[in-house]
Amino acid sequence: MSATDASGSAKSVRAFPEGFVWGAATAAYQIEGAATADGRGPSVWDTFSHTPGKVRGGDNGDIACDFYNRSEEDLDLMKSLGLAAFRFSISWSRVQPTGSGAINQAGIDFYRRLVDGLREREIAPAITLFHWDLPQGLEDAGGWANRDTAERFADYAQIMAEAIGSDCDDWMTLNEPQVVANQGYRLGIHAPGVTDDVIAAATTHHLLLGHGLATQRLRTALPAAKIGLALNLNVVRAADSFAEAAAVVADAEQNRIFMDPILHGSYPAAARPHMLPPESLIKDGDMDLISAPLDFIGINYYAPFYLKRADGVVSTDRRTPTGGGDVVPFMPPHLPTTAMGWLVEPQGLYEMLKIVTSELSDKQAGCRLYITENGCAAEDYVDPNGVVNDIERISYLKGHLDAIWRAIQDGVPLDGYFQWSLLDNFEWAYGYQKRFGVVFVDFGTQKRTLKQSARVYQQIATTNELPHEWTGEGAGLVAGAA
Amino acid sequence: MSVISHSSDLMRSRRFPEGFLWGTGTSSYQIEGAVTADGRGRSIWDVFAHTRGNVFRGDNGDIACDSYNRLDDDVRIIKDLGVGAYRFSVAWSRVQPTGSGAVNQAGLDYYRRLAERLRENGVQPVATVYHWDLPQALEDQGGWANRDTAQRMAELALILGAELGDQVSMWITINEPLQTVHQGYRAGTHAPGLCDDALAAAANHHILLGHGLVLQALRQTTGAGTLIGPTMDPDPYVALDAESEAVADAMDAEFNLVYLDPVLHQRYPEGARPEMLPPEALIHDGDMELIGAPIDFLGVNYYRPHHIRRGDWSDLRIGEAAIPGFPGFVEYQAPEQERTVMDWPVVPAALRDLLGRLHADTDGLPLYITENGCAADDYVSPDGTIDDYERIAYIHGHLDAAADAIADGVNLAGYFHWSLMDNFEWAHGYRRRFGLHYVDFETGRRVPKRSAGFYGDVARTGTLPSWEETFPLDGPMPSASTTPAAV
Repeated sequence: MSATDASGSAKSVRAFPEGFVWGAATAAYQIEGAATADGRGPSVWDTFSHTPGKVRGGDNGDIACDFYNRSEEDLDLMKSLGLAAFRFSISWSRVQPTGSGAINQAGIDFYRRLVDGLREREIAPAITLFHWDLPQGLEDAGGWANRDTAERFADYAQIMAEAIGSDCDDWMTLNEPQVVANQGYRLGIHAPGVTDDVIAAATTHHLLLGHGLATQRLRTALPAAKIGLALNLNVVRAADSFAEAAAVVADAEQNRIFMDPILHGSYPAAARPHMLPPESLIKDGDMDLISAPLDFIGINYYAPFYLKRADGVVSTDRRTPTGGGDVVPFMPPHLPTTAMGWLVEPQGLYEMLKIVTSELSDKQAGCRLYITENGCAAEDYVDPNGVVNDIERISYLKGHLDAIWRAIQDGVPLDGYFQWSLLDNFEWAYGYQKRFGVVFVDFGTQKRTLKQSARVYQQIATTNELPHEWTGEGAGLVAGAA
Repeated sequence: MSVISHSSDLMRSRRFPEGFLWGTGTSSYQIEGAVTADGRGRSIWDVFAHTRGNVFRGDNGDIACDSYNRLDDDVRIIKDLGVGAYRFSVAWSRVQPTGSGAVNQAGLDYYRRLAERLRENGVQPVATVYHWDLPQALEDQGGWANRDTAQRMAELALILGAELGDQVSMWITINEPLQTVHQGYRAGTHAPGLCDDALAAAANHHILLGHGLVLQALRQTTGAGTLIGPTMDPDPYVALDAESEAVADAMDAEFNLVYLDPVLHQRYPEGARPEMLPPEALIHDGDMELIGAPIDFLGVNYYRPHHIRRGDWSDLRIGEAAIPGFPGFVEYQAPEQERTVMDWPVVPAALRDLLGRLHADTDGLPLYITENGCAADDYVSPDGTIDDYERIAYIHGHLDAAADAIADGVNLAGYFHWSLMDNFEWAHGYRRRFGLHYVDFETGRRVPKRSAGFYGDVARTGTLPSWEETFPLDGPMPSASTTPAAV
């Protein structure tokens, strides 16, 4: 594509639809800090991160980005970036310190002020009710393995709807429930650190039930609100024909185990039995609740998974999408990787958008899509000139925004994109070591520095089109030295 | 925190010999900044770093750690660290802006002041004459491919010996000639960025000749008792199968022995391919005697070994990388191999073996580890600490291996941790942090990492605590008692 082709330069402008939402995303435990302020109760992540050996370097979210005390400054930052929306999550244990019963008004007040601050700056709040920080009081009663947690979640959803719903149009019940079930209850590398397949299978169903029940309460309390959830979806690819069958299983266990109940009202048949909730846990009406119509599906996309024949090296690593065996994860050497070691393949985002779109005609007919998370960790630093020249992130952004632009041209009903993340923050088990922000945070001083990617993103958010210099192949980007 | 490979039991602490020299190091272009201050001339690294595409994210050393303007800060953190010695290098183009002729007194004064301050604070200065930042004016005349550059470096050494000899009693002639030759002239990944085997082979001889001439010049200008030696970086090459042993030997010859053998034995090695050796025509009468003149110690920089095995270049396995020039053979890193963020394997035991080999090859000459350390993804956490447990583990493992070597009878006289502080890591720019001190490059602020407290304790006490004392089982906190203050 050329800016000076025969039909005129206008053809090379890659504009997004009018009203396309450019946002940035965060989560409560990753940014707020103030872990004991104003009556907040402990969450599973407080407990987990304070357990030796669970988080890199013994880091925890006690302070994090201190967003609880610095939200005004950060709201100004968002405004300066031209963001139309800010996705944040509510710390349940700020609102209900033990996860049920009495409300902690100070916690509500914080989110009230935050929403007011966003509205004053004409930034739309996009609320996630559950982004992994379950109140410890509920975990002590069984956590998501306990069906009652889903009921408590619905109560909490109603509390939030009544408290701030009049000013909040966009609601997400859950963020990445697959990660909660798998990392939190099966592999134990996230809070609450449980390693039990049976428990994990139960949490799968109860998380989805929680979504369904919360959706029901939100609908009743806020008839005009747009309601959805954020699913982490990875395209799964077989690098050889031997791995094709395993790729179908991995897709079922990684993606469809949460996607299919929402989109089709059923669990995927291709998943291995122990990964699925037992029939006895699935009560009459559950699947209808879970697959009730939503207004949008949020997609968190970072990387593809490749699988390949193991060549005689049998993996016993339970973290592999196949649970170990004669097929192993594969890193195609031609694909770049991020500082997380994750593959960079924007085409995977395009394909995932097409897949989800093609399945919207069933239970979720008319549903819209958002990219609720997309971004990368890079080895960022403030250089002696005060600049964070994160060209790898700009390159990542370029590839993935190109992918979503193409998807929109091809009919995908995509209404917005949320960059993960606004700020460098507490990256779960990696502590503060992995930086995902478009804004650099010096955690020792809490100073924020816009990375170069933030300036690029600001331009895109403001103009609603991709930079013209991105039109040529590789234009405008400097490759780093080997 | 995974447990690194260990050669000894976890309960044992290690006591180092009386008089063992504990230090830390830096180099001029990596820390000084102030590249146009007070008459400094341009070096090849100024030109290379300002050439688009050479350095990660386009970084350069224009400011770096601003050590030229923060001499007192540097001396304070060195003193607070508790080490007995500090190794720094002289920016040739600060002393002689064009690499020859008149002395720029302001540049010389900086090093004199640094040496004086160090001594006033009980720290022994150790000066490296050449650490890669050749004056650009000399590069314009052929650089190390030009024999004359060796003579010019001897002139520099005469100046330094005369001006600093009363303050500096330990000198390193050249640092890692392999990297200058290979990365600078053969692979082009370091300044001056040339890719020419013939130039590289010539540079190989001339930089060693430069070592010999500097040694001679320093002998003439410094007093009795001054210790002078070169610093080499011989990486171990380890064959993983019988067929690969010849390749490992060839790589050892081409990357290690071409520098070690001339200095230790007054000859170039057999076993290197001809194009990797300087042609006979460049080797003048008397050169090998100059190069192989007696030295007082051998400086050894150790970071990592290389593992070699057979491999199919058209179908590389995970962890394999083709070895240019040796079809059918690959470097291999097992997936479970612990490695640093440089992707270098962490193998302390290979240091013990290397020291044993060098002890034998030098007939018991004193050895100093002039560099050893690791880059890590360091960050200041919200409580203001830099909890670099990976670096503490790396130091622990390698000092344990050094203690093993001493127990084996190796004449190891000192250890300099690389580096005092995060700095400009050559083509990696500021991304790779090797320091015991974290540097906030925007403000220049130096903050001791947890490893500074750990290493300082070792240096002060001469004792390496046991692994269990260092990493108690109930938490990631090491037992280091004190972490010095930030400046």
